[in-house]
Amino acid sequence: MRRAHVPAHPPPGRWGVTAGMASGTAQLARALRARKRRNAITAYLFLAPYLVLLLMFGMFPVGYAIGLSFFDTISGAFAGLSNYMLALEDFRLRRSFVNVFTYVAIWVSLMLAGVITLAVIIDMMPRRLGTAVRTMTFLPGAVTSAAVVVLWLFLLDPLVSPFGGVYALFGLGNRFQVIDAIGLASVFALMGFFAYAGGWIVVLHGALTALPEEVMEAARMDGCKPVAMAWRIKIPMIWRSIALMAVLSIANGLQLFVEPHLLGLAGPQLARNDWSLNQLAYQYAFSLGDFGVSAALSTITLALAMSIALWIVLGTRFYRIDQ
Amino acid sequence: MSGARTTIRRRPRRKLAFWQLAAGLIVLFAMCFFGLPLLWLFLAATQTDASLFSEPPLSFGSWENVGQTWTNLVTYEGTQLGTWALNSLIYSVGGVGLSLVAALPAGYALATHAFPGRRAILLVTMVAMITPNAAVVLPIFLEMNLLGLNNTRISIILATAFFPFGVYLAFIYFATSLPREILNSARVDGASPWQVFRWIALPLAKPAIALIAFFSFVANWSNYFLAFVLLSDDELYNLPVGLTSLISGARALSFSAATGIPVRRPEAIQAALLLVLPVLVIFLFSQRFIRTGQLAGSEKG
Amino acid sequence: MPERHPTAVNGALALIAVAMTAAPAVAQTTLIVWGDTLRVESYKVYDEITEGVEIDIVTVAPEEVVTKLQLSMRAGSEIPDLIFISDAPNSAMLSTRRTDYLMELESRLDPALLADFYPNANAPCIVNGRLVCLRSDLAHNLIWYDKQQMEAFGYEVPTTWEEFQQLGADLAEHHPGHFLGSAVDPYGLYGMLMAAGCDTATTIEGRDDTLLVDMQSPDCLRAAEMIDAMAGNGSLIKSGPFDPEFAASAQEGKLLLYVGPTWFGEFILKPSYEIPAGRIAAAPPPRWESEPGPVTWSFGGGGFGVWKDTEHPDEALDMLVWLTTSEANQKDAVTFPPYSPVTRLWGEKLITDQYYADDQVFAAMEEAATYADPNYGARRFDMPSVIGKIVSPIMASGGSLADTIPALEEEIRNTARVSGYDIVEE
Repeated sequence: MRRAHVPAHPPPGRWGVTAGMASGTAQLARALRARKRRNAITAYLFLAPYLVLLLMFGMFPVGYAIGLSFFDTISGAFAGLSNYMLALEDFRLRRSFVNVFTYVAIWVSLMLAGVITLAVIIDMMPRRLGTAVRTMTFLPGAVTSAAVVVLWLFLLDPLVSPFGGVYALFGLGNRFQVIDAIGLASVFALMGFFAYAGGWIVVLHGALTALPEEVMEAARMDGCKPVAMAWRIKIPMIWRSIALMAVLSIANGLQLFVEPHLLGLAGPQLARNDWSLNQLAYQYAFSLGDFGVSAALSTITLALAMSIALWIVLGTRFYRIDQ
Repeated sequence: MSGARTTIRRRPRRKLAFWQLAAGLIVLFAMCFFGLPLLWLFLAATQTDASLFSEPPLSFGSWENVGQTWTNLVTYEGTQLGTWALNSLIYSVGGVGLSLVAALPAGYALATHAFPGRRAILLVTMVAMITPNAAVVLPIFLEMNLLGLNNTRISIILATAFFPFGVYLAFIYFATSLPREILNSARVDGASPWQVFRWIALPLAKPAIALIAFFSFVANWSNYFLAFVLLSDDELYNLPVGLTSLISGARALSFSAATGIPVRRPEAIQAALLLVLPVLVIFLFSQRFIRTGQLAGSEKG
Repeated sequence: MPERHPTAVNGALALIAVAMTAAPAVAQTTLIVWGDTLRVESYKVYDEITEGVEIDIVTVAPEEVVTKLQLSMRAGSEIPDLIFISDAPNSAMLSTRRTDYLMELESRLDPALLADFYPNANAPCIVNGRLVCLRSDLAHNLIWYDKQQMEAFGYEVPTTWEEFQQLGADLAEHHPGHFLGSAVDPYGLYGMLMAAGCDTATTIEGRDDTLLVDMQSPDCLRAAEMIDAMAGNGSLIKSGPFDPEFAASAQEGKLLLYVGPTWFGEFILKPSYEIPAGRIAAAPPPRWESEPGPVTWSFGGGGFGVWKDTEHPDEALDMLVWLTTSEANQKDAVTFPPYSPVTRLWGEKLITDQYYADDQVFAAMEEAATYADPNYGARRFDMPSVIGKIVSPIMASGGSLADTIPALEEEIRNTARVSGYDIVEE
């Protein structure tokens, strides 16, 4: 079943080695080493533009942020862990942790359940209809910044929301009651789902279309019903894409910033400028000018996101492809 | 193949199965969840700031309102819609172009070559992919400052050209959908690595190119935070930054509207639609490309 | 400071072909000034009328000024010589040990000029006893009311908060559905707490970066109890003045009276609530019966500040004075100017404005300006956000402000400490 992801032919790492084992003479081995070296040089030439960018915008900024977190902002002197101590002492930190973890739990389950279900259903729909639905799920992602605020302020207000009927059903009379009933974490999760689900539906749909038709046919011939086929065959076969979505959703979720920040544009009534960890980091850098503490907070969230992501990446043998 | 088709045809069409009903309901629900807000957005653009509250949701205002709103948006002195749109286009196209130039050969090398450091690069790419923009924006700002590139167009293009997700997509595509026999035979025929990449791998990678370009474009087109931090000259703003600064300058959304600037909620909404439409067009356009490409890929795989 | 040729630099660096324009001619002095969309027009006028000074205008959204300034100070380049501060309290954020941007002004400006500002108009510009900016506009609270409706119901405009509360009770009994304001809007709640003399975050003279936070006092409690009572009988409603629910009721003519800022008539009542002409009038803000006179809080109003290390202090100060006190700039300003000689010229059009029910609107505004609370000052954190976070959700679900005061007090103290203040608790 993993065939779709693992190339049928031996992966690159292997055939070189096997060829090397087969030959006995030193000359051949030397030629092989030369070839390997050439091979490596070629590979690095191909990689060069990307590696430059990776260094400049991937590794340097992260390294720099980590570095900043150990220095005092005013004096520029090495400050040891004092920025971290300041960050950890902040009375808002615990609250933000709870907020962000609640949010991640809701948002990732919402993404997994919603996106997989929709992608599988769309995959089974007639092509044109499927395209229409997919387009509709994708477009919200393009609604940005100020418009997101207007949109959600109205969506959440029973008086003017197109979902007013739903709120009335639950006896919710004003925006506060709605937000109170849904919970801020869920509101942000819904905002995120609204914006990002479409992109992942496109990715999963791509993975689903790329599944070998023979397998599907064989399953169908065996009398496999559509639901069982989706659950037992299709979803397991695209697990790699699903794992990718989970990893990225967790990482992005921990770094939640845009949704609560944007809500603040609408005035102090809904402003939650210290709701998430990243907002705290932002507050330190941009309201207080304390880039050291800000960098310490960023480093903490980044380390958290990376450990969880690495655990998933390595734990699920995400890299099986190059073994 | 023909056997399979008969199987499908023989399947009785007596009644709607339970799962079909459930699936239909789920799709209907999704259409409401994603569609109604979009519909509301389109209709709200036809209202005035006051009638947004007084008229029932999802009602049509008038075309005159649309015209008036548009006039307010383009004629107000603080607006430089044309400049911002052009900037957005330059940043997006530049970012997409550079990210393709970097991602395609990288993904190709990672998928088809064995070399020391490959695993490490893949791992770092994964990690970079999960490192969100927000965490590195400030260091990127300081770095650009060091290079003297702050407040320049090239700074945005360079920073967005780094697109590890694209490298990952290219890597997956080349690893799974590129018939290695063809590559090997080409090598045996004496083609240089560059020729193999340029004349064999690239033409087969159209779907991957489309997918990467598409995601990169959408990300760049709606890029707000990075552009906001790196650019301080309003002539260099892209649409998201320009419109947000206009709308927030007019206090169109927040507590005090005491500016007398004719930019209120309908203007904000129309500005938003302005940002959505190109994405819609590109999505519909690339739709066919992505699909046919994937089918082609799967047949060969 | 190096001369700027932004277009030339970008053009040379851009990989993508970008239309190049000739570098601008260099004037003797160039001032970089930041402002929001509205201020840009004033800047352009100043640029035109001034010889030998070129104004390099950068539009920065109001909420983003502090952020952008942190970035440019950190980068050490493109630091503006003069900025517009949309939220006057931001001046405290820009006068910290880490971000010390604003120039001390009192020693550099004519005392007679400063004396002609309304009393306490520049209070938000005073950080640790130093004057670091001048106000661009004032937004103190006064009473806005529907004169026609009040007369029809036979009510008098309240002069004290006790009468205000009584009016609410009468309204609830005889004309339910009509209301006097919001029980959840942080600005409204903040204004009422402060009018009662509550020490939410009072600066202490002679002690830098020290705040008195004591909200268990009778002063705080009387305001909280009034708000609770009025929220209970529905004369303060559970949505804010910028929420659809509030706006819809106001559009139906249900808003009888509102204690709101100077700009509330022109920019909310008229365009957003669409109250017809001939109904709206204004009166000075109410006082507490036990107090000799009213003390009134504000809702907004910006200011201008100058960079303390600017290379052109004279030019920058000249521009600052022109922006805040000149007839040319302030006579037709959008909102109430702080410099009284010009303000009277500004007010003339209000006196003849047929929209209002009488010609006393400007007089009410001017009287209210003299009651401005000296505590309406600069803090490094946003108090309405704290109130919005802690109090608004509770009020919206029918809770009590009096019961929430301890939690609010705790949150304010914590927030102030994180922002670098010492707290005095009694």
